[in-house]
Amino acid sequence: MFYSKSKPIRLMILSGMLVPSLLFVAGTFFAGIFISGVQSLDYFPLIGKTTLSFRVYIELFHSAIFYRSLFFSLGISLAATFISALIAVILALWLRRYVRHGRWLHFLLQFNLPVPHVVGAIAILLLFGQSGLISRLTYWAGMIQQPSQFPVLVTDQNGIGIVLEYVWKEVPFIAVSVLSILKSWVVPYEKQLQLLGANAWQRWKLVTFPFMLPSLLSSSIIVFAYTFGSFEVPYVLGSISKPTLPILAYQAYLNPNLTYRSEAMAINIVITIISMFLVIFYMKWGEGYAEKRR
Amino acid sequence: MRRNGVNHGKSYAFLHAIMISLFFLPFIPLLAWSFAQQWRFPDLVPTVSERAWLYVFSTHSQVKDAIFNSLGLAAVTSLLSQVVAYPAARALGLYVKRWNKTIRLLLIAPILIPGISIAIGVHVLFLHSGLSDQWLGVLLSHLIPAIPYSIYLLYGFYAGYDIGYEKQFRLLGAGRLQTFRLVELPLLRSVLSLSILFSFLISWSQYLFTVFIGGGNLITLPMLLFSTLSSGDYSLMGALCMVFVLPALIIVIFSSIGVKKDLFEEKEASRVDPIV
Repeated sequence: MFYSKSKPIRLMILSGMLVPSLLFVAGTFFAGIFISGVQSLDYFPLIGKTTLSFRVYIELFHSAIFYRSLFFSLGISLAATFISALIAVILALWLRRYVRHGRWLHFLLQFNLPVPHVVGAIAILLLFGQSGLISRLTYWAGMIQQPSQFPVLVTDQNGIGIVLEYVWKEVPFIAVSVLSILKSWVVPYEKQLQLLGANAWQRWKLVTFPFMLPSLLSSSIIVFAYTFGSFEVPYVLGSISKPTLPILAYQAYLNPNLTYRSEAMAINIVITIISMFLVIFYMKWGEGYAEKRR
Repeated sequence: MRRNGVNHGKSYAFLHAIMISLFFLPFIPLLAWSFAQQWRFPDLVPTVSERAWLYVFSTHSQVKDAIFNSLGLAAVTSLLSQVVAYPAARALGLYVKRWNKTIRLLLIAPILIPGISIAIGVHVLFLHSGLSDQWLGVLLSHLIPAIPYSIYLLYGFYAGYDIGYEKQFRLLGAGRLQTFRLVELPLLRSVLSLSILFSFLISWSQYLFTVFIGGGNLITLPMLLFSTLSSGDYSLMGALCMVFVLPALIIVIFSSIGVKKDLFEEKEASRVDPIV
């Protein structure tokens, strides 16, 4: 609201609007990342280390535990993202046939979006644990006689419980963003194609899928990035002996032995860099797609 | 698309059944446990007791303090993050042309980088600056994800906002405050309330930052939840989870009412993030 002011004054007002947030982000977030970076380079004046070295990274990249955690995390995120996207697309395609009377369905779909992940994780624990509700149901169905006969689905070595929680939580998220495309501006194209004699498969291949791909992709990248860096869910549902990368960083950081500190910081930086790549992908796909739509 | 009108009812009911079992089913054991005294293995129904709920609502329990701490933190976080985010979002959406994308990326970065990486770095930083183990430090740490999230939401509004209305209004002689009250606020309201609610929720469900920065001095609801989890008191855990979910439930109801009369329906729908 400064249409008549001179240029320097305008600049001053503008910077006044931006500086508080920039200062805050720089003073907390970027400073924190910077400290992680410095300490990961083995710089600890407290215990007399004042030289920078890549020792920690070299050790990290030769450690089997690190690679196991890294690939475990990536695998969990990949599986969770893929399964969520698949279910979400099917659900969205199904749901859009009932757009008219969809208010209750809309509520159902959105219901678990803002539920904290911790609650979801505990719910999965009580549902799929060896003495959980599903296990009890299989007992009454006569499939098992003891809780120990139920397959280990939570705090397991394969991260099944973690994937289950992510899928439960992220399916609505992807479905909502795909559905918003499907509901709005795909319909006329599809009708046109139908009029021209295309069958259902051709309509899907030529219009529906290509049109929803950008939003599917951008929401999937968000899901992948989130699940990769999430701490609470593997903390509740993961096995202690097979940590994901964030848990590994946490364990190393809380180790009373200070020499593990720099290792924690190095893992931190690795997580940050991987996330940065995902952000770049997102900017390329997600933002580009938003601009094209406008 | 009314091709199979006959099948309509059946498949509609089936869809309902699937969605309810998919999204509601996980809450059933939580709710059941919260009313359980004992729930031995093969039983499908627990022996009922209201012990956990009585404990949650008793005046001398830790739970009450935790709820108040969580509520206070979340309210202050939500308010402060609007104060900081509003001018930034407006500037980025309407005035800043050069470096716009870069500044936005810098400001939104904290919600894109995993919490554990931020929490550890910020913990060391706050240890050095004496902000750790304090209410203020915890508040600041909750603002780290909340402010970018608010900027992200509000920026989305201002990117599609036509400043022409304001200019017209000012031209006709309205004051600055009047313009804000009569033009900007009514248009902004739905997005702003979403931003307030979600930054509230971010702080409300924050565990990692509270436990790192607070160092156990400030007990919030998520911290109580985690300590109950490790103590194995499933009944109390169920009850706490229910209390914990309550604000989220209110928000869903609020937003599903709000969606219908909203001007930016489609945008809104895709803006609910998994970060929370």
